Amino acid sequence: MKKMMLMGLVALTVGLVQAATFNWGTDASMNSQNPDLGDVGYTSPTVTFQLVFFGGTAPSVGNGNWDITTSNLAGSASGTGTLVSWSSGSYNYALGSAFFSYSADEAVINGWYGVVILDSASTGYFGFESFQVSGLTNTSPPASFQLGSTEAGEFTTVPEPTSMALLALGVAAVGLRRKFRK
Amino acid sequence: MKKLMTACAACVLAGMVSAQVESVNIVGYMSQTLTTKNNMIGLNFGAVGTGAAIPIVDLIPKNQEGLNAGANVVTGDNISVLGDSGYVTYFLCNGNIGKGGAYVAAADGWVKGGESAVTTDAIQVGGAFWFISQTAAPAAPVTLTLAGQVAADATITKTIKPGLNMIANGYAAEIAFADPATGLSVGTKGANVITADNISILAGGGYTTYFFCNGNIGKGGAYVAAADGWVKGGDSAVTTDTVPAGAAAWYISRGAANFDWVCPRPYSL
Repeated sequence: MKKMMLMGLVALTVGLVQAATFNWGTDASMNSQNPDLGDVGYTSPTVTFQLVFFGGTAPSVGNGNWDITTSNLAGSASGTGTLVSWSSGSYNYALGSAFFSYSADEAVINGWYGVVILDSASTGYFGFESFQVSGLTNTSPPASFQLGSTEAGEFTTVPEPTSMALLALGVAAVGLRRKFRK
Repeated sequence: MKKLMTACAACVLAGMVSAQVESVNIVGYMSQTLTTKNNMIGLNFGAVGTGAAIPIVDLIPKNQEGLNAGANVVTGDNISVLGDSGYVTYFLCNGNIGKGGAYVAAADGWVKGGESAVTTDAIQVGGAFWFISQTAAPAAPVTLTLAGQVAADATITKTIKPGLNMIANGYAAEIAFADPATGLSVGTKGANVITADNISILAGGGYTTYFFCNGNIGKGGAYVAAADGWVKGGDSAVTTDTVPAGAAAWYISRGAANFDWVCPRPYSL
């Protein structure tokens, strides 16, 4: 039993260190909702990127598929993807371009990924790019994906509950006003 | 006066002898012909003068013929070094990473992914890395030249961690890893590739794997002395294969703890 536990521990330890890696980058991150004409359309320096793993199915993400209160997928995309922690890789955004490197064991790294692009300059909107990682093993060299540019702020996010409440309040006020006018 | 001149001459001669004794730094270079995109390279040079870790920009100068510079990791050649949490990738940048692809002189050279200036990172002698050429092919070979100071230490020690390790011989010589004199005889032995430590060498786009056999591969697990050591998968005797000078390999350690590979210098200075 002791031997079995020791073997299990060895297998676990080995599993932790083995890692396959891919790099993802974009030459320029644009912002269609908040274009800065004087700056060739670059987003603000506060753009952030979120990596989502979708497994074996190509993701289809659009309006209403990102919840800004929970920073997670919403609507029809809810439950199809898993947010990936940056602790397993590195991430950098500078000069309007982004680069990140992500590592995981070969048993789980292959599949479809999405990158959610958020920009504080266009609150309520997000960009999305997807790509597929396949055939990557722990002894493979890193695979690299590079985009010419991304379109941040392409889709609308799910509004915050407070915004929803204010909206509901506004609708109610309009309704009441009409009622009293009669 | 004659005495003074003789003393001076003696001093000069002594100085020359002393200089000769101190001058043991051997600077060399090694050329490798790359015919595939992905290449595992072993570093057997240190920085000239100190023998310390050699900066990437000195190890592979950006203007070498056959190298490809680009604006990102997909178009420029790559160097990828395996760290504790995955690879750190550098690409040979043409400097065109400014807004709208504008040229940035500070980024003209080897740039770490996500950064915007030429790197100052270095690789230790005995280190291993991937060199990814964007154009090397059998019909279009690329000659990669590495230069630096030849390792002079009596031994080079590399810590082998549980799991995968990218290893290389720090000395400019091929390594017959089945020879106990190379120091690769302290890992975990087993009767097959699953239980024993492995060494995998990349060649022709695929890996050749060896396992550290305990010799128990005879009928019913009987001990076979000829198989007690590093055996190529599918063979039944200790291998005489070598890892060529300047190449790297994977070492897969099955043990739960680190151990040191202490490799003695295979040549005299």
